This record gives sequence, structure tokens and C-alpha cells, in this order.
Amino acid sequence: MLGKASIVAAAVSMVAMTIPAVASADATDDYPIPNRILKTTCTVDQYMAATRDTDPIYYQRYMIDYHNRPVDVQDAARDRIYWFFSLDYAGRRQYSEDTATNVYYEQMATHWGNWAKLFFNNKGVAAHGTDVCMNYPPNDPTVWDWT
Amino acid sequence: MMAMTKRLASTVLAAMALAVPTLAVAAPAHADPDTDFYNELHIYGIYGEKDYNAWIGKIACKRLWNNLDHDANQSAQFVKRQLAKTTTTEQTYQFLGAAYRTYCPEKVPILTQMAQPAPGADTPPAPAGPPLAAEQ
Repeated sequence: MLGKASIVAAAVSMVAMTIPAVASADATDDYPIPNRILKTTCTVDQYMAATRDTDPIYYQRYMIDYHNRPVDVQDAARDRIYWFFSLDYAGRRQYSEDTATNVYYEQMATHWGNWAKLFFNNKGVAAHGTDVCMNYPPNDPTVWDWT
Repeated sequence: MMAMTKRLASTVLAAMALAVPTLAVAAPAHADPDTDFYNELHIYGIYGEKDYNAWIGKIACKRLWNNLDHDANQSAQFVKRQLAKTTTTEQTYQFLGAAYRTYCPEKVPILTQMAQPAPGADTPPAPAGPPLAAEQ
């Protein structure tokens, strides 16, 4: 009886010991920025228009948050995400690494913590959006006017 | 005097008759529209999370206001994608009707416009060929 319990306890503690090793601050190909966002060839506008259809509540909440920011913060967030999308895969992967290892790396986040939530924070949303974003027009400024 | 009393009484009665339905209606009308919407959806067998359904109903209206969706058909396509996969077309339109009535009543007419069947739409073509014996 005791033997069984101690085996379970040992197994549990072994699992517990392995977890801290995995949870290092390094980026992976899917963290903190979802792999789909690192690899997509869609434009910002295409991706946003896609999520407006695929995950309308998530998109809506992001847009409400966006419009609640001062105009200079809105503009800076827009510029920053367009800049990110202008990078190739290697550049995006490096940026993912930089933000994972240094919380102060992304200055935008000090003005608006969730500034890229629609793009970086949810793998499901990123997957749904990148599945269909190529079917939307590359330039569509209305995606930012949604209130 | 008698006539005046009678007239007064009938006025009071009329006023009461008017007031009673007003009072009866008043209580639910003051409820949260999201709750009313949620309750109406249950009549159609549409369940799911209350806030989620309210969001979808409101966004369906917003898509019309923002000219992203232009008619009830596009609106229904949007709604159907957001609801459970088992949702029927009928339930989709019931959801849409409830959403319009609750969140954008001015859009209700686009549903009735749609109810006018377009020529050939959804109606099986008239049987061709010679008339049946009974028709002759």
C-alpha cells in the first residue's frame, strides 16, 4: 500500500521537476508569437478583415480597446504592426525571441499592454484568420475604422 | 350631476384599462435586452452562452450599419458561421429576427423584403410535359 503511494508520489515529483526546465523564457516557433503569424504572407489588413469574419467578438473587443487609446498610441500601434508584418520569417522569429527574453524590448507595450492582442495572443484566432486571409483585399483601411 | 359622475367613471375605467396593459408590459420592457434576447433564443431551441449570443446579435447589426453586410442573406451567413454547427437555417433566421428586433429594429424590414420570394428561388419549377389526366 505504502509502496504504491510512494511510487505515485515519486512520479508526481518527477513531473514537477521536469516542468521548470521546460518553462524557460526562450521563444519557440509558436511562442510568444503564434507560428501562423510568423509564417503568413497576408497583409495586416487581410488578416484583420479575416478575423472580423472568423472571430468577430475577439476582433470587436480589440477594436474597442484600440479606439479607447489616445490617437498617438493608436497610430503607433498601427505603425508597429505594419512594421512587424514587413519582416520576413527570420525577422519575425527574432522579434519573437527578443520579446520573450526581454519584457522591455517592445516599447509599444508600455503604452498599451495588449497592443497586438489580435495578432499575437491567441493561437486559435491566428489559425482561423491565416486560413482564409488570402481571400481578402491586401489594402482595406476600413478594418481600422470598426467601432 | 348623475351624468357627470357616469362620464367620470367611464373615463377612469378607460384610463385603468389603458394602464393595466401598460403596467403588465412595463416590467419585462425594463429588463436587460440581452436577457430578453437570450430568453427569446430559447424558444427557438438556440442555447449557448448569453454574452456570446448577445455579442453576435449586436455585431450582426453593426455589420449592416457599417455596410459590410448588405442584406439579410449576408447577415444570415455571418450568424450561421458563429453558431453551433447543428444550427438549422430556420434557427439562423430566427436568431437574426430576434437580433434585429432587439438591437437594430430599423433593420427588420430587410427580413420581410427577403420573405418575398425571388422568381424561381426555393420554389420547385412547375412540372413540364403534358397535363395530368386529372387536369384535363
